[in-house]
Amino acid sequence: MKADVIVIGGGHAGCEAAAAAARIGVKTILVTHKFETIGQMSCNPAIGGVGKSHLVKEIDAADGIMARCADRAAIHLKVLNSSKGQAVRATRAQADRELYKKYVQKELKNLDNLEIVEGEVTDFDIQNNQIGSVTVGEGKILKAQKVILTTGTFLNGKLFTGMDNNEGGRVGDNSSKKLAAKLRSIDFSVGRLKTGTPPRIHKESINWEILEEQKGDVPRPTISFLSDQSIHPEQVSCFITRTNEKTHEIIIGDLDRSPMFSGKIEGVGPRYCPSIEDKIFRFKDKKSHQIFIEPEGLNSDLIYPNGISTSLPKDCQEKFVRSIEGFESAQITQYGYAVEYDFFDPRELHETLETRKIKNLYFAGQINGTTGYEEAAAQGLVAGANAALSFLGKDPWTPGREESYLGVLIDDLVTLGTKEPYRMFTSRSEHRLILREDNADQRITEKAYKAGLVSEGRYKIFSEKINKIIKEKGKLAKLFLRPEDEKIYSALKIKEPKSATSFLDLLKRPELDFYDLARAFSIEIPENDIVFDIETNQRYSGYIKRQMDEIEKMKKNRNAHIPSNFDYSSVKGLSAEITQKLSKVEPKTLAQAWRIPGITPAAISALMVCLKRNEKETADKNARGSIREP
Amino acid sequence: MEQAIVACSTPQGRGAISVVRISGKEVKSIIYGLFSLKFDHGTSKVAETSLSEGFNEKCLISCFEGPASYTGEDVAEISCHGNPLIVRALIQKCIKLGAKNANPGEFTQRAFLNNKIDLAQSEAVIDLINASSGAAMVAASKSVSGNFGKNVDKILEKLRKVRILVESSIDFSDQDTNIDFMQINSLFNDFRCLLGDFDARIEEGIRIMSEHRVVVAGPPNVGKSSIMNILSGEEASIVTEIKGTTRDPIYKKIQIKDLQVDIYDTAGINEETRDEIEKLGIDKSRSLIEGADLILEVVDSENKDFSLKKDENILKVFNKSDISDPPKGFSGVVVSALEKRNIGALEEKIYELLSGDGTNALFSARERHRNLVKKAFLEIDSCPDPIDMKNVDIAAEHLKLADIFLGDIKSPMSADDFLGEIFSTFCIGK
Ligand SMILES: Cc1cc2nc3c(=O)[nH]c(=O)nc-3n(C[C@H](O)[C@H](O)[C@H](O)COP(=O)(O)OP(=O)(O)OC[C@H]3O[C@@H](n4cnc5c(N)ncnc54)[C@H](O)[C@@H]3O)c2cc1C
Ligand SMILES: Nc1nc2c(ncn2[C@@H]2O[C@H](COP(=O)(O)OP(=O)(O)OP(=O)(O)O)[C@@H](O)[C@H]2O)c(=O)[nH]1
Ligand SMILES: [Mg+2]
Repeated sequence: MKADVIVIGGGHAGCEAAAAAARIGVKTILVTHKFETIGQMSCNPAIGGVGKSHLVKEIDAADGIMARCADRAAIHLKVLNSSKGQAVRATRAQADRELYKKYVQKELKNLDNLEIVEGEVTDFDIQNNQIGSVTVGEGKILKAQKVILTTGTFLNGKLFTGMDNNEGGRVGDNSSKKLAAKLRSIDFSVGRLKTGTPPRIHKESINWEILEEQKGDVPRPTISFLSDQSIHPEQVSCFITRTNEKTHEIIIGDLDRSPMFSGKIEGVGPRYCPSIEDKIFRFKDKKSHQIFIEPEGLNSDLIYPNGISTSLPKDCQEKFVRSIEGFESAQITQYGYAVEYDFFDPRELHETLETRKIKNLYFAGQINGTTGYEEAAAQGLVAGANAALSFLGKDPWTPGREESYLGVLIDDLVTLGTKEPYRMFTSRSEHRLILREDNADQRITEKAYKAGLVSEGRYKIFSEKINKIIKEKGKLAKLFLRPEDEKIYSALKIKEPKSATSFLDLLKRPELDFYDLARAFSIEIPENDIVFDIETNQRYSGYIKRQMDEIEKMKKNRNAHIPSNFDYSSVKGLSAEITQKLSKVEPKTLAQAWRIPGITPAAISALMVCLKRNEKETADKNARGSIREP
Repeated sequence: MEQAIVACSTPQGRGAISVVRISGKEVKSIIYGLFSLKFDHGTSKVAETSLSEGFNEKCLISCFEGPASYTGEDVAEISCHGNPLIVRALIQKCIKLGAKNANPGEFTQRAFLNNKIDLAQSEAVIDLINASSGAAMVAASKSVSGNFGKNVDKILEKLRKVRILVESSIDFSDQDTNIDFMQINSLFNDFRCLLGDFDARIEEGIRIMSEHRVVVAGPPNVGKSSIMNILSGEEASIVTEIKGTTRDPIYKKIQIKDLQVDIYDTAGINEETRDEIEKLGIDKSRSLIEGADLILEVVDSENKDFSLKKDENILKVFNKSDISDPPKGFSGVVVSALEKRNIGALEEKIYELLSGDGTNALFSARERHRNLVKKAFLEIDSCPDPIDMKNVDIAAEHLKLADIFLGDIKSPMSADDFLGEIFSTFCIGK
């Protein structure tokens, strides 16, 4: 069997990678353990949240599958930060696990260029630092031009509950040992990370009456730009409870039986997703921690108690869970556990996510040190697209950090690496007011369309939206409030304007909103997304302009390419330490070099001069060459 | 063309004339803004600019239009009086009009990048950048040592307290963080007061920077007070033949050529003393010695082996040359305070050491730092007040920029480190 692109792993990275490559139109094979675990959510049944939803909307803007599947599986939706400024709104959906999986599988099945193969990849064939084929199971060989590895937490995966541990990628799945051994034999820098998951509780064993209910938002937001509310399944509520001093006492008493605290786990866990034992240990003053009780699905008997991820022994889990209000007679159906796994230093990747060491081999998802479905899917999209583009001999598609969270994610990974599982937060971006959820399509769709990722249908809808915005804006720029329009400004409860002020300029005032203005001017109100776009861009226009200026500067440095194999030791005056740092990261551009910690402005200047000199030298040589050859 | 850069291109504090050079995109408008003068290539014109109320400075302005200029961009060279305060005011005005402080070697770097300097010279450019950035680095670390740096730390600490809450309220709104906007605003006000005070006081700090602290130190009775009196030209300090006459430090402002010098006379250092008051005086001497730009270590023939054991910023002075000669190989200045012998040479040496290479770099380092504080102050000035849910995204932006500017003075904090601070403040997770 042969393919242009082979994707290994049917997790969130793998699905998005396979779908992207197939959309671009190359022959793609997805190899994964079991068809039925394709699109499985290993941990919490939710998609989105601040920072993460931004990634999902960008994936959607490139016609990826995550957002539309999440919409179809969403059983509880919320807009986070809805009472805050427009720039920081974020959507979050509780997803029905089974539905989500089902729609992902359906999406993949419907793709023309994609074939799915069940089995475990056990080996690679690598020659001259270039990958040629992969072996499935006991010896089935699949040849491919490009291979994308997205094996998640499965490489040398080890699961811990109390002092017991066994091998596995997640509960119910074997770990990938053979492949892990193969990868360790190639000289990639390998590290260990860990993450954990809470126990699952049987629905019927919870005392719902006494718990605080949390309803989803009305009207319901959607995640995909193309979805509307009608595709959502039935909606359900979440509930809230809290740990108490008794819970904390039980946990503290059993810390010596925790694999984390007794030193059994060496992997580094995320600072922001600590286990309950971690939280209690680190925040001794906090007498109670909140727990969100999330439904696992419409037809599921289980709930996911978000907030008590743990790897304590089973008997301790029973005890502490039952000390919590509402959980007094809780039945645990699956115990919480921690998983420890191999990851590869992402600084050894190009911005396309191709490895530097092995040509045509790409890495995406959790194996690059990230955590989260959205982070995995985002990398899958970029790796899948670039593997296909490179196969076709086309220019790569590498969204920059100035235009997207996709760019922030990848740029952070390949230039800074990571010491703990990396998760997206909006504070990681320099341009939060520009990189919004609502304009993800305007930032991504055009370029993704050029790369071949976006269907004609979506592109048409997008273009229409843009045209509408332009037209509407044009109209509003010519609609004026004049000093004599007393009726309008008194209706708006504002002072008489000194001179004619346009509707657009009035929108810059925080006390006026589009709808009030439209009523006062008695004009027709366009669709909600158009209103939101115009209003937000006007309100933040000063800030947006300023950030755009910054971005221009950043782009310049991003365009200053540093040749691969550049010899940093040839740059006079760089300290040994700086030379070493640069050689390790091999920044592609001056902008990346800037972001490496410890790089001084003087080093950048010296580098800039050196690059320019090399450029001149080659230009001079070429000029001489062409004189000799008429 | 790039954003304009500005710097004084003559050594600071020396010579009768200083030249301030600007290069870049905004040069034409800056020249117009300063002098209401049209920028004409190849001309030199005399014009006035107002540097403060009622104070006009007459300058000579030479204009070179790009690409026919040193850097290849539009360049103007403004010659003014060689007074550091005038130079500073002029640079500040250029910055107000859109320029920024030049980095070490940046004019030459631009010249190179614009093909104004040939390939062979590129090594020299890198050397220049490295050498001057070396000096600049030393100067920058000097600038942030002491009170200035401590204040920056304090302010940053307060700012980050506000930012932790503000950023958490955005990124972790779905968590159990209970962020209270009352608390945000009270911390914000704390921070703003501190920054405002600092911004007001920084002028004073700059003045202190451009002055120089000279401390006269040594064993008792060697003639320290006598030397102080001669240098200051008045009977500032009491002179007697009793050891331990001077107890509290005595301070005088003096002028050596164009340099402002603060000179301190101190209690003689006598390890053996039992006198509690004298001991306290000696402690004060030591702390003054630590903060000095230059120490005059005075000895006489009876104390010729005395040493403060310092390698830097020290000038050895042998006094009472009227009654005895210095030991063989004495490296320093030999004077007699009584007969006012060789005092001119002493002044010359002090001047040389104080206005040495570092001063210019130090001066511009502090200028840069001062501009960063100003920028942070402007950010905070335009931050919404009070901060509330609706404007928190915009407030976050201003606070972040203020953090970047202030952080630039010492060590900037990466987004990841900042997240680390949030995680150690709040318990966040599933
Ligand atoms: C216990 C646990 C706790 C977690 N906790 C969190 C959390 O708190 N917060 C959070 O954001 N995220 C958490 N996650 C992570 C989240 O599930 C992952 O980040 C995300 O699923 C990663 O996606 P991926 O595509 O990289 O890998 P995965 O979703 O893990 O998918 C890997 C896929 O590769 C397949 N595969 C593996 N090896 C082979 C092979 N040799 N041959 C063929 N197929 C193979 C597997 O069958 C699987 O389909 C947790 C995961 C686990 C397991
Ligand atoms: N012969 C001679 N005597 C001097 C000279 N300079 C100072 N003296 C004398 O030395 C004595 C001490 O002088 P001070 O200037 O008080 O010395 P000091 O170092 O300030 O002493 P303390 O304050 O006690 O530490 C006085 O009697 C001075 O007149 C000099 O150049 N030659
Ligand atoms: Mg004295």
